Amino acid sequence: MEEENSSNVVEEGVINKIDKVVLPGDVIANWTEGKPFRVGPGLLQNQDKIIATKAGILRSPLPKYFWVECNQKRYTPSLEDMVIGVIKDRHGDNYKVDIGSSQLATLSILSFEAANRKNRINIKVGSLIYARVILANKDMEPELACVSARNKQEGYGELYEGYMFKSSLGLAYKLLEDDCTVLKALSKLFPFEIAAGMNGRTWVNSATKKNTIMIASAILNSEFMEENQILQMVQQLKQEN
Amino acid sequence: MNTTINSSLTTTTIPMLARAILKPESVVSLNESKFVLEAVKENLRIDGRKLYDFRTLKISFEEEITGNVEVKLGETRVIASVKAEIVEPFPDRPTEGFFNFNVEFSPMADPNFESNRITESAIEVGRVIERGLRESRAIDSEALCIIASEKVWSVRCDIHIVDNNGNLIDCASIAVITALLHFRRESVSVNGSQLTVHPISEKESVPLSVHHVPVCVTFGFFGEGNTMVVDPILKEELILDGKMTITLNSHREICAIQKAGGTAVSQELVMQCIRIAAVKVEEISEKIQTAIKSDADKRARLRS
Repeated sequence: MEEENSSNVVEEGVINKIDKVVLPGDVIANWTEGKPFRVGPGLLQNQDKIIATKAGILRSPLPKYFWVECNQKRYTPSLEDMVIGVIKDRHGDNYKVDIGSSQLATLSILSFEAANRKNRINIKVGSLIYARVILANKDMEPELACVSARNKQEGYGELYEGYMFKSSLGLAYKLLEDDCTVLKALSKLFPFEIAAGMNGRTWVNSATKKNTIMIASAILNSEFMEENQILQMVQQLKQEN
Repeated sequence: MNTTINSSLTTTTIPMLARAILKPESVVSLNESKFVLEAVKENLRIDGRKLYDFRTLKISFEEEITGNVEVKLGETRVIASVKAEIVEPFPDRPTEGFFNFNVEFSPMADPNFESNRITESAIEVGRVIERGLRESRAIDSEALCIIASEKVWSVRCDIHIVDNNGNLIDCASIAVITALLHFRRESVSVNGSQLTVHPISEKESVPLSVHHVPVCVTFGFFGEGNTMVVDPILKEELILDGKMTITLNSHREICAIQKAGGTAVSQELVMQCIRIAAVKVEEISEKIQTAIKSDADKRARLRS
């Protein structure tokens, strides 16, 4: 991959910074007209320089595409994110939902499967919902929908019972990976339901309160652990209970 | 003084209703509220503690100077710093020095803290700690007198709330009393009306006179005051129906009790809380003394 990069577009200077920590203001590359360079999240083009705007690790798994992988707690809504929200209020046909962003999000009561003006959805204020961000603009209130792009429920909607906890965004993304170590290890202990929101909120439900609390603690502790440490921790939990 | 309450009055147990908290910066959903209440009924808490367990307590001291302590109670962090200067006393109290307590709620501790707005709960933290120290005579204003009517020590204790994860009163009270015990002022000598302040490099510094070690223990009540937890975490604090703080020292003397509103609590429950608080205060006092001693040993080793 490195050969492809150096012959193609990118200079040595950039390759050295891949998988290393960059800080805001660091110049990643000097860019000239005609060179293809995909500027991903956390990077900014300033005339002839590509500059990092966030602190994190510079990643480039694909040639020409670069971004900064950072971890933060504050959520900024972006399109197609799956988030967990708390219904704060109802104004006519819209719910006002708190998703942890700077503004409350709007959720139309028609954005549910099989919902129309005759068949109205009624969710209590204070309930939890799993929704999809359908409008995310830094100058406007975000908008949510509790249906997938194909207008089917597909997991979205109200979350019943269970417990919700907050974590950093990095941990939330890890939970959504296919091969998440901690979830796989926990699933071998006992059955549970989980909804991970990309806004740093995670909802868990299981047969007993004790198990739910155990899952929440295990997930929060696993954030900075290596794979073998996670497996060890889950083993310990199994033995203690 | 024995008061008997007519316990033949039966109270109907009203089921604990879960309420969502929807304040601008503190949002707790119905699901969470219900979960916390039902877990507490099963003797479980959301961070894995038992009902009467305190969180892990960590005490650390600033190097080089004295009277600057950081206390971590779980994730709640408070820094207390003690300073002293020589001032003129009030004319009507010529032999009394001054103790001032000032609590700062940093906006980085909690999104609800705004730098210019002081809330009721903020004032409560400072007042409860001050009351526990002053009225139990743990701190002695008369011992701060140097030359009557002319010179007295004015001790100032600044309490900075750095991170709020519930139970600020207990964390801050531990920080304050540890800082007061740790602090050393310059030694002074009086020759007639001539006052000499000896810098620490010349003569060894002197501790403040602290007569006993009062520590606050806070209890949270759910429902009709029939379920109780010790050292509530932030999420529990938001859902609580009532709160009570008991300040005791390790001699089992009650220095202050604070119960501002909230759900009514029976006499038996108050007595049970006092008994639990006495046990907790003994454990905490021991941790404070151990921390101070190990810091003193460290400083002695650095000097030699």
